[in-house]
Amino acid sequence: MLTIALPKGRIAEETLDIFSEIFGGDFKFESRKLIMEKGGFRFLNVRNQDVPTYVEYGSADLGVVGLDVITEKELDIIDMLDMQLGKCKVAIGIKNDDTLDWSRPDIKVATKMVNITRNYFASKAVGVEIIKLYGSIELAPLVGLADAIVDIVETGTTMKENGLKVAQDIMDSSAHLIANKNSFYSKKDAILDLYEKISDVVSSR
Amino acid sequence: MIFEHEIPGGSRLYFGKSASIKREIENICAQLLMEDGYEEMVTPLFSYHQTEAFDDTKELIRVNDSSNHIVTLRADSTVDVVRIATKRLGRSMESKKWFYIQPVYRFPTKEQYQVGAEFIGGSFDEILATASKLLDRLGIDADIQLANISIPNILSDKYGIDLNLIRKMGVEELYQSKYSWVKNLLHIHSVDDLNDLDIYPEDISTELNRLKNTANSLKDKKIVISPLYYASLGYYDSMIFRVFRDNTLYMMGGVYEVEKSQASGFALYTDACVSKIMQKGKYVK
Repeated sequence: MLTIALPKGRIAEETLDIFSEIFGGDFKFESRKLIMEKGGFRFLNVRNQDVPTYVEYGSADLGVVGLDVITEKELDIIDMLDMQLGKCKVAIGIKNDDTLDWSRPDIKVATKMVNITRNYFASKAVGVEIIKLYGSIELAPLVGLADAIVDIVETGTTMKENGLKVAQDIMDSSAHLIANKNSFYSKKDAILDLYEKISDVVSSR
Repeated sequence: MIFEHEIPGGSRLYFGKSASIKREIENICAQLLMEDGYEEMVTPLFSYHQTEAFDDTKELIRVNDSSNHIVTLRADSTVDVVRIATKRLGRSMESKKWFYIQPVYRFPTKEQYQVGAEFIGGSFDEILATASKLLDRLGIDADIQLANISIPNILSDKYGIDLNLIRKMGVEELYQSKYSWVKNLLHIHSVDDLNDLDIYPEDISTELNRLKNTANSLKDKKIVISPLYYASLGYYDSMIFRVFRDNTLYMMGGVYEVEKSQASGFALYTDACVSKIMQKGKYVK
């Protein structure tokens, strides 16, 4: 049996829809249950950021999680397939009236994504002071906590409503199918069989 | 603030039952390796030569000697065991088979106890036979994964497939390779998958045959064949094996070249064995 960690919410629902399309039947978590077994699979309903941890530690053979989370966590897993779900961008946001001044000796950035931010500014050879926040990131420039933010942007509405604009895209992100390395080698037949089925559905859309 | 009882994260503390299990594992290993003609070596904690073993030298803990040369704490035993055996002891000791029981240290404070064997001039099949006997003696029930680093190297050098792509196992890109047999290579999993090698170019099928012959020599073992596995330790250049179950790696070994000496060896990860016994009861016979 393959164990698959899914991030709570829309991505989990859309992934389970793909399983329904492939195997038939209704793949759905019952109310608040965190584990579901169906069709020879065990699904775990976990927090988005925790998906790669369950996979890296082998509690799940596979997982579905955003490329931004994979990149941020820098974990030792196999990134198998872009499932083209939950497309978004990781971007730098600043106040509507501001411009991003790359010539400054350092920029103060508020973000949940410390590693992505550090690596991006390092690649631009710009000093950065990173302030780690856990939510409501858009607030930081408005109250002078930071010059800019690095955050997920789907439609840009949240930024707009808070008087911010996108100054620079850092990366595209979407949900990816990932695998634990030992699981990939020990359960390769089952994992590649599932990979091909999911890949066919993703390509047909 | 550091509490009085604190130890650094990643460091090891064994006492009572766990220390006893660790000692028992080490005794079993020492006894078997001596029966097989290995002599024991304890290498210095400090080394000038560890950088050769690592693709990512960030893992090394660096200090300086009295002349301000960089030395590192022992992060891997193989390179130093072979270098000392061939360069320092070569004239005074005839032995080509050495074993060690000692920890390695990696940045920032990671400590890992290992039992290892290095056979200078030894073949892959010889070292695997010793490793296999050791697994039996310890009663470790796990998969033996066989891989051949020559295959990723050939794919990179001759067919232009990016080694980083293979290293990170980029399934999506490997499926789309212009060489249709790369997908078949990716799918190889069991010994039976090596029965028909006609679809592969000769250089690849030669290396796959080496995997097949070795796999066929291992009776009553759970074998996983992984032609595209790429080891993270830089000195392995041909046949390698890993022993794992679930997410636990118990052993890793293979053939390599250090200082123009061809050798084969393996390391048993003692901490993983102790941890599994503590979790699930005794499996050391």
